[in-house]
Amino acid sequence: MTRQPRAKGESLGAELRGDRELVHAARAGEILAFDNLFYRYRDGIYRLGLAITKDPSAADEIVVDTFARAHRAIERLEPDDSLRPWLYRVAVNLSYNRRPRKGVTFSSLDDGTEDIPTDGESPSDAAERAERRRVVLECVDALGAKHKVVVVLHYLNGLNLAEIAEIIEVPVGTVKSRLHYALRKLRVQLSLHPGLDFEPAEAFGATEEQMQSHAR
Amino acid sequence: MRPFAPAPLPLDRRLPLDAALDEAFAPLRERTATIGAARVRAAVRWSAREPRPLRGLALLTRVSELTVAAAISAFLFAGSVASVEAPPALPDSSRDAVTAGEWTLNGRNALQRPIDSRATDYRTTAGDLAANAATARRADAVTPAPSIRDSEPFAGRP
Repeated sequence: MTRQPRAKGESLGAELRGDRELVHAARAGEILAFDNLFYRYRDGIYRLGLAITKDPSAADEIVVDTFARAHRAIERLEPDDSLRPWLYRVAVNLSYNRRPRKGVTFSSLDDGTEDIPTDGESPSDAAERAERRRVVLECVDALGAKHKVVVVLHYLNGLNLAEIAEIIEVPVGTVKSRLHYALRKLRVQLSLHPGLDFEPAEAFGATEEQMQSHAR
Repeated sequence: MRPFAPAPLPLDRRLPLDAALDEAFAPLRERTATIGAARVRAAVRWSAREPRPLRGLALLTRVSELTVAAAISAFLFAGSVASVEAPPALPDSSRDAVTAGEWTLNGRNALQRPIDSRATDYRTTAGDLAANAATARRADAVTPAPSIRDSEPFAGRP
C-alpha cells in the first residue's frame, strides 16, 4: 500500500502525534492541532459523502459539518486511539439525513477523466473500462442504504469489518452478513450484463426472492 | 438458524467482484476535497481564548455591574416599603368646639370636608352644645371697650 502524500497544512511534528494527543491539544486551544485532524480525515470523509450523495458540493458541506460538530464536541471527545470511527459515523448520518437538492440529480460520479486511456491502453479498452465502472457503480447505488454504506466503507474507504462495525454501531457479524448479502446481490445484478463476464445468478444457489426475504 | 442465510462467496467468485469494485471506486478514491480548515473555523466561529488580563478585567466589570444592580434593587425596595406607610394624620379641626360651632352656623356654606373626615361631628348634638358653650364663654370674656373722648380724635386707632 502506497503512502499518500502529506496533505496541505499538515506539519511533520503534528503528524507524529496520534488522534488522542491532537484532540487534547485542540481542547487546550491549539488551533493547528485541530487543523491537523481536519487534513488527516478530510479526504476520506469527502469521498464517503460524495459516494453517498453523488453531489460534490454536498460532500464539501458534509466535511464542514462533520468537523464543525467535532469542534463543538471537542471537550467531551475521548478517542481511544483514532477519531476516525466517530468522524465517519457523523459523516454517514449527515450524508443520509441530507435532503437532495430539488431538481438536481447526479447520475454519475464521473469527472470526465475515466475515458482517458492510460499508458499502454487502447481507447476501446478505456471506453470498456469506463462502461464497466459505470455499471458497477449503478449496481452499488441500487443497493439499500445499510448495504451500500458497508460496501462504500469497505471498498472505497478501505476499512475493515471491525472498523465498519464501530462506525455504524452494529456487531461485526452483522457487518459481515450485510457485506455478503450486498456482494451476492451485486453479483446477481452484474451477471445481467453480458459484457462483464460474471456468471449467471442461478449458479449461487439462493434465489433473488430468498435473498430478499433474508434481507427483510 | 436461517435457512437461506448468505453463505460466504467462494474465493474464485469473490475475487472478480472485489476487482470490479476496486476498479469502480478507483477514480473516486483519487478525489480530494478542496476546502480548507479555515472554512470549518468560520463555520464554528473559532476564536482564540482570551488572555488572562482580559479575564480579570471582565471579572471586575461583572462585579461592578452586580454592585450597581444591587444598589438599584435596594433603592426600589426601600421606595416601595416607604410608600405603603400611613400618611401623617391631619389635625382634625372638628374637635375644636369653636370651629365646629361656626360650621354649624354657616350651614350649607360651611367648608366641605372629605366624607371620611371626622369633621362631620359638627352635626351631632354634642358638637352643637359645645359650640354654644364656647360662644357663651367668649361673650363673658369680652372686656368693655375704653371710652374715647372727642378731644382725642385719633386716640385708640392703630
